[in-house]
Amino acid sequence: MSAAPQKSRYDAFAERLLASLTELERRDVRSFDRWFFSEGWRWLAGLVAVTTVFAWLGAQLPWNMTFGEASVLFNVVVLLLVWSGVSAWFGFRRLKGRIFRRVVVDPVVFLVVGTLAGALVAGLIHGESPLYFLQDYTRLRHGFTAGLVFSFLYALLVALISQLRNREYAALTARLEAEAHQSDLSRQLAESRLKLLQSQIEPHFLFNTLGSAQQLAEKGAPQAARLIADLIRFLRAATPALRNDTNTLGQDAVLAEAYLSIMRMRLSRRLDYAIDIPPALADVALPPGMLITLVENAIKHGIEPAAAGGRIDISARHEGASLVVRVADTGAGLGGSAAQPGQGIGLANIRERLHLLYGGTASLELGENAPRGFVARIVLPRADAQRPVSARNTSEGIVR
Amino acid sequence: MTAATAMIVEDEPLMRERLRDKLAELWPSCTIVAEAADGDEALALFDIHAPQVAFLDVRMPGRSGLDVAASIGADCHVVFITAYDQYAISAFAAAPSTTC
Repeated sequence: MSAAPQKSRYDAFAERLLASLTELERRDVRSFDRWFFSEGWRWLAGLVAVTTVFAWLGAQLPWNMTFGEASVLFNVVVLLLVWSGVSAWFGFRRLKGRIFRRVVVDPVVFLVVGTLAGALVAGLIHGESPLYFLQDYTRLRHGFTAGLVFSFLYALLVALISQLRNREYAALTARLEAEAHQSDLSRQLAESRLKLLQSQIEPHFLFNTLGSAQQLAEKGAPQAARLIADLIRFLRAATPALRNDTNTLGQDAVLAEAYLSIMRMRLSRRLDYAIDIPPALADVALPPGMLITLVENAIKHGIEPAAAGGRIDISARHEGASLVVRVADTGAGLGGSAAQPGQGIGLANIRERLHLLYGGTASLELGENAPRGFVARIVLPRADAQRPVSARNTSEGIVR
Repeated sequence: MTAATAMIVEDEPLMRERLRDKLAELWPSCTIVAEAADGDEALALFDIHAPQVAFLDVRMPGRSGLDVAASIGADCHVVFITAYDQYAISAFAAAPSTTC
């Protein structure tokens, strides 16, 4: 004999049935199951008792019914109603969208078939022709009216339950989907931030900056100390800016300034720059890493490929309901950067994060600068109107 | 050992200066006959001075170090100077007798 517990036929049946349901339905059925076997059966027993009392009362009326007949009839009707109610409660998905058929067509069909069947049975019992019953107009009318009222009420109950349950089910499904979407957004945002962190400080930048600083120091040039001070300022500004939950335009401006100051010393006359961010906007929140990515792009794809160099202008403005952060260069423009490796990754990352944080209300606009060069604009909803999509659930808070 | 001639091509002035100093220190018999700040200038100076060795930065304005190597690689030794790993492979593909 196997020691494993044998599955009963009922268990196997229940398992098959449960497998055909959705997760939400299964959850409902299980909780109902628990309820019924812990206390629900008492309610059922109580219902039978109450119905029987009513049957006794009914038997006192001049209906020509014994107490036994009345209790059987009453209990059958009430239990059938309960059974239908429970069936509709759990089978609501199968009843969806067929309200007209349920409430109007089905009762009429049942009524006609039921009346004919009843007449047939009555005729057989009384040894009369079934058609005789149909000829008794008064009885037929009473039977029909009672049947019609009953089946209509029954159909209405089923339809109402299935309607309510379907609505509830749709709402719950929508909520679960929204939650799943939300957690998906946070995950994507975290990944995107990680990518940004990994790509942030390039070894090439550090090698060349330190090499330049060493060269200046060996020559005893006073700029050596300044270059190293700039590098320290850059590293200090870069590291917390990527970790902090809140990041401001002011912090990003410091980072960009340190970076440009280093690059101007390294490229000497080939680079000129200006940063124009009004003090009022210094505390405005900005997702970390975006401004410096644009500035690095301007150097890498604009200034460095241009033999004559160029100029970089950083500015920030409120334009209507938007905050616009702009990085423009007069470098090589689109043509000069075509062959550079790594291009587009930084911009794609900015786009992705803007989309994840603001949905469709923020954008990254790219274009040609006049007379030459490249312009990138980050357009965000204004700080006082900002409603980031997912700041609630992510570490990348925008609202300060 | 006969005196070698070399050319330095690097767009950042400080790094160019550093390369010149290091070369003088480590290879005193080498004469630096030309210095260029970009690829086009490098090709022009190469035609004039015909150095035996060219030290090339990979990322430069205009023609890149790889383009320059492809033009002159047969006529001289090329040494690439770069911190970019991803360039190393294309560097060898462009001019097989190179050093990174």
